[in-house]
Amino acid sequence: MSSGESVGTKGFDKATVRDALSAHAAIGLLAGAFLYLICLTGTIVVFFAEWQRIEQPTAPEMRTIAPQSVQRAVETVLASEKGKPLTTHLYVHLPTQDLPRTTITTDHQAVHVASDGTIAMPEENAWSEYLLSLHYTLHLPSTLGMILVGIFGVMIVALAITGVVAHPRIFRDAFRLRARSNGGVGLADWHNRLGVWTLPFTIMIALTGAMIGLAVVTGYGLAGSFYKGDLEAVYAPIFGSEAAADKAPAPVPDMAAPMRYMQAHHPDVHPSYLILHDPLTAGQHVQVVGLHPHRLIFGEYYMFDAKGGYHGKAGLSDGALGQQAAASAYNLHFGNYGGLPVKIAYALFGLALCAMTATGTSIWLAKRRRRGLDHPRLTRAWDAIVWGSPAALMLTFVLRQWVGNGAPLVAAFWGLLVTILVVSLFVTDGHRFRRGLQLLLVVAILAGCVGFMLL
Amino acid sequence: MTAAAVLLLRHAWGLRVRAVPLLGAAWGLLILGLVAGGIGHGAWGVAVASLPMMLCAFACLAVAGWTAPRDKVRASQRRAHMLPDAGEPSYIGRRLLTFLITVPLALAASLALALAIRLWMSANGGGEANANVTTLFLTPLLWSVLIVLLLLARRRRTQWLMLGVPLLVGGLPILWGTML
Repeated sequence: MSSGESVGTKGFDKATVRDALSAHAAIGLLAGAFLYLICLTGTIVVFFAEWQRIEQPTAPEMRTIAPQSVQRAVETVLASEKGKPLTTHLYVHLPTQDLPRTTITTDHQAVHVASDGTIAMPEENAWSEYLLSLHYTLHLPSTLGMILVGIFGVMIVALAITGVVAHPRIFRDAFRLRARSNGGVGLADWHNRLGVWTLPFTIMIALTGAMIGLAVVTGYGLAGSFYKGDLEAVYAPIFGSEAAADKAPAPVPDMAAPMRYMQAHHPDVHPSYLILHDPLTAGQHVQVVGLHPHRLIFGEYYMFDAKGGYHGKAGLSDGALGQQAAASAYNLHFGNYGGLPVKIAYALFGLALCAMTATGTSIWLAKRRRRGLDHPRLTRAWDAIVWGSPAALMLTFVLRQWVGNGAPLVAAFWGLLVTILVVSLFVTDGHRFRRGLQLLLVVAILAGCVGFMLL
Repeated sequence: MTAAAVLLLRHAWGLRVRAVPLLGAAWGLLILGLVAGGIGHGAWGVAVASLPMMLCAFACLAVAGWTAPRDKVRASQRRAHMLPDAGEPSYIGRRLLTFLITVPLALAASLALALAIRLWMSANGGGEANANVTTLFLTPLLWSVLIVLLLLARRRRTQWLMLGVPLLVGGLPILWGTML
């Protein structure tokens, strides 16, 4: 794309290279705005655990929690829900390196637990959850949103392939960055160099994201073709099957025994979650999600009955290769397999992806402008997306700080973004408009920092 | 090791003549680094070993960007043919059909092919979990590749053929398999 890159020098003929560029532009322009939003939120959400700690800094933190404290907390939470419909699941998040908190979540509430097992306070992480939901589903109904985001993952893989085909010297010029060239060369160089060096990351992120997002579509295809429409049966060989439900009443299960079992039999495995299925029924059972050090898998499921008797594991750590691969897709996508250094690397590569998405459309617009086909409204609308969406994200963070956990974050974000887009259609000075949005972003970031220090 | 490989690649690509031994050594070192990561810690090791490679390349790019001189080289004017130039017809119908072919129809074709591969894996003792997970990964991968092939095809007939073959190859065994 950049000057000096002769076309058709290696591998592909000139016509294929030209068609690949057309395909690259077509996909990029059709999906550009949403791709940018997904890449941007993905970059920020890498620090999901850290954002939760920033959002609610007063929640009790601990390195470990005693099994009897967890038991006490679960009993208290279940007792507090008497009279309400029984929760289908109860999750106990146990302290981990990046989120050293104990949190219990049911269908009705989420609370932080102190190290002695008393309930400390309600969990308040609305902004982190809203951010995650924007990345996962674009705030659409969950199934539709995940499929749509999965489709955009496929588009990124297609963009990566067409990008390589369209630029025959892309590897040879991998270190050539004429950053100070004007006339479009600098922008094209940034786009191409970031593209080539993040290629492994881009393909890995996009493919795992597409797999996760399109799992519903593929899952229904599998269920319809091989399992008589039973979607759960598709996932049972991978993640294990649920035990048969028995709705007869039963006392609170022994949640401490599985923790003690793990300490005694798997001291190298760090339990991150206790999942209680069908609480207070005769069919209730407990799963421990155990983190395995130096593994990509999100964990292994260890199964226990209500009395703490061990019933084996799902096999995500040492079962079929497919099980291990499926369990690895999540950490590989979210970058939470190597502590803060890996997260920082993911955030940097994520920023590079954002820059690539942003510059892609800008390069196309600039080329048209140089050929005398100016699109001032489209240029301003693209600036509104590129600079307006991070500004809107940061402004919702400020809103969360000042209004509290109940702030209408989704409405505020989309309201702000639509307003910025509408304004972009009517302003006349594109340069000042872009500068204004950049200023708004800086002010929003500063306000967020000030809010964090003051509140 | 992977970071050193990137530095060696940078040196080799910066030379005036093509230094095949140096390039070979650089790529070899890169592969060796990833293999060492894999032997030491499996997939986790490979993932971690690939990060310094990209970070080192970023550092090299930062230096290149920082030291780049100001110039006025003219940028490429290659047309992307995404929008018509002034006076050209817009071909809306043709573009909509291309969208239909590359998005919903290509997804259906990719899914059919992935399901057929699942059937084949299952029939050949590949294991249920492996077969299902392969299908989950293959559907988006095949779709991405199919989108590229479809968009590179110059004739509409080739595109229909590209869609028809996977649909036929995938659809028939699935129908046959589900009827058994």
